[in-house]
Amino acid sequence: MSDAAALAHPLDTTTGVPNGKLGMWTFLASEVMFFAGLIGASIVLRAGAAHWPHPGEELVIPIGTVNTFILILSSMTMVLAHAASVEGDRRRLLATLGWTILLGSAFLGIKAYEYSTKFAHGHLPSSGIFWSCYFVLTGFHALHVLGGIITNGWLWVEAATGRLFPQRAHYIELAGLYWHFVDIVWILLFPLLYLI
Amino acid sequence: MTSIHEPSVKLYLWIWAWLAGLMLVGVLISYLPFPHTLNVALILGLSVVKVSLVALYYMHLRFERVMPVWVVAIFPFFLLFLAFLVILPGIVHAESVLLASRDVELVYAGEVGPLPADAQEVRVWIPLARSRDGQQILEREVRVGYPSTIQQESVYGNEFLYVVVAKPLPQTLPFEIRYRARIDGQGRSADEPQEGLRRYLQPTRLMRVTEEVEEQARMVAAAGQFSVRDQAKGIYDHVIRTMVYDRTTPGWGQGDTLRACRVGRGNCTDFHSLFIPMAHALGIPARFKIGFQIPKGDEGTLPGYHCWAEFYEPGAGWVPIDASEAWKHPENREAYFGGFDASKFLVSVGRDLELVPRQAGEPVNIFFDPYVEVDGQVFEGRQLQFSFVEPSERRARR
Repeated sequence: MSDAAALAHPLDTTTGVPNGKLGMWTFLASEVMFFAGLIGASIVLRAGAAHWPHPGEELVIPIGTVNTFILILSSMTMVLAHAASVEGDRRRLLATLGWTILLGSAFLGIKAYEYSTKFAHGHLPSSGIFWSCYFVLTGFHALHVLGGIITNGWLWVEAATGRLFPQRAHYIELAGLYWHFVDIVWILLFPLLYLI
Repeated sequence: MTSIHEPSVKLYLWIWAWLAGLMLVGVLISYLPFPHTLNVALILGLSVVKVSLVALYYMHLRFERVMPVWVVAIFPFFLLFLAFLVILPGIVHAESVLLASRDVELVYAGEVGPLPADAQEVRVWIPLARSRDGQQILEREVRVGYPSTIQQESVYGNEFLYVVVAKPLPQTLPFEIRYRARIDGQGRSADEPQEGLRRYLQPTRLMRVTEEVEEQARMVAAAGQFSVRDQAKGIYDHVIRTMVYDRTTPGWGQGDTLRACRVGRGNCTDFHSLFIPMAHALGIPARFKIGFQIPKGDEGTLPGYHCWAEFYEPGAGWVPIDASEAWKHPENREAYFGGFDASKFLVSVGRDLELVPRQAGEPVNIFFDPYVEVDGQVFEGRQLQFSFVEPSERRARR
């Protein structure tokens, strides 16, 4: 490990894992339970539903595909931001983190467009069991994306104003863990809602 | 730094390429005409691989050497695994167990009689299956030893053979109708002109919206169901829950709604004579269909008629349901709601039929057996035999 990386985890802990990282993983475990509950509910409702649309019947697969692509790309730029933070490369950190924020916003923009077309066709969360599941799952996911964008934006400002390095550089890793988790949720939601 | 044992920019890029590639494969699979189960398994399998790649490389689990992180991290993935155990059977189960397409040869035969010795004239109306609603009659051969005409009534479009025999009358009047049919839900047009739908909200003498029916229907509707399909599903579940398939208690088989409500027992006729008026009570057009349920297998005799119902869902058209088969086979309950069943051979649609030329008696409650009048009086004497063969080359293809 480089010196910068050693500096990124300045505190020794009895668990051998930095407290921040342990805390983030514990939080993610609770988040998994949150989404497992919602996804599980939608599966059970689907199994009992009289009608559930076929792939492509209600949701536009190409739009979902583009959005998935964007989110995966943002996960990649996020991990590159982490690599830059470990190496202490502020310029590269600002660029990659900036792209992550932009891509996350693009994802939300496309999601908003999708929502608006659904609303225009009269598909509301109250329009039936499929739409209830769709809006609840993608709505909570979108809120998580928004939370990630705000966090990343704050870190970007911190890095730009020189307050991130070196003591708080490991925040990028923690924000990254969260961002990748949000990506994972979408990787599961996309096939469940759009493809099968 | 280029080994996969250490994180590196090159590794991150490779992982991204895999993620994007696997995503595209998943999307592609969703467009391919694989069996649904295979599609679901492949697409979910790919998702698990992608989730693992993100967790192992982007979330660095691959590089963590400290136990606690793994312990915390495994917990979520264990939960995901549990979720998938529930998911896969749930979705696979929803797949239809009904045959989508069948080719059959069917014989509807029998004789009317013995006729009373002093009878002057006998009039016979024999229902004829025709091509409609996903059923294609490729051949229809009628054998009856007397002059006959093919007629069609205008309300439901049912066809039938009309035979009049005057003195001297034979002792019996034999007939045989042979069909070759292809039953395939793909080809059916489900739409109905708007003004035509009104007749499917009308009661018949026995199948009607009684107070009990209205109350039960309101109860179903009040259970938080909003779409036509959800309401129909609620009625379907209600009928299966409250009725018992029973052909021993006297009075079954007439399709009498009042009796179905009071006695709660009967055969397919009675089950669907509860379903249809409950749909009517909620303003959902629904209709009665009767014919044969052809068993699995290559040939055999058919024990008798079977009936089912359809409700009309705006946008989707006529949706078939079979509450009595679902009662007998609870494992297929989802499939019998809305699933097209190629094992159903349709003979006639509707109740209280006015035949052509008009019969002297009351409207025909259920038109499956030949309707016979001797000197203007309804005559019940008859024997019927039904059998089917499924051509073997067709079975081999399935």
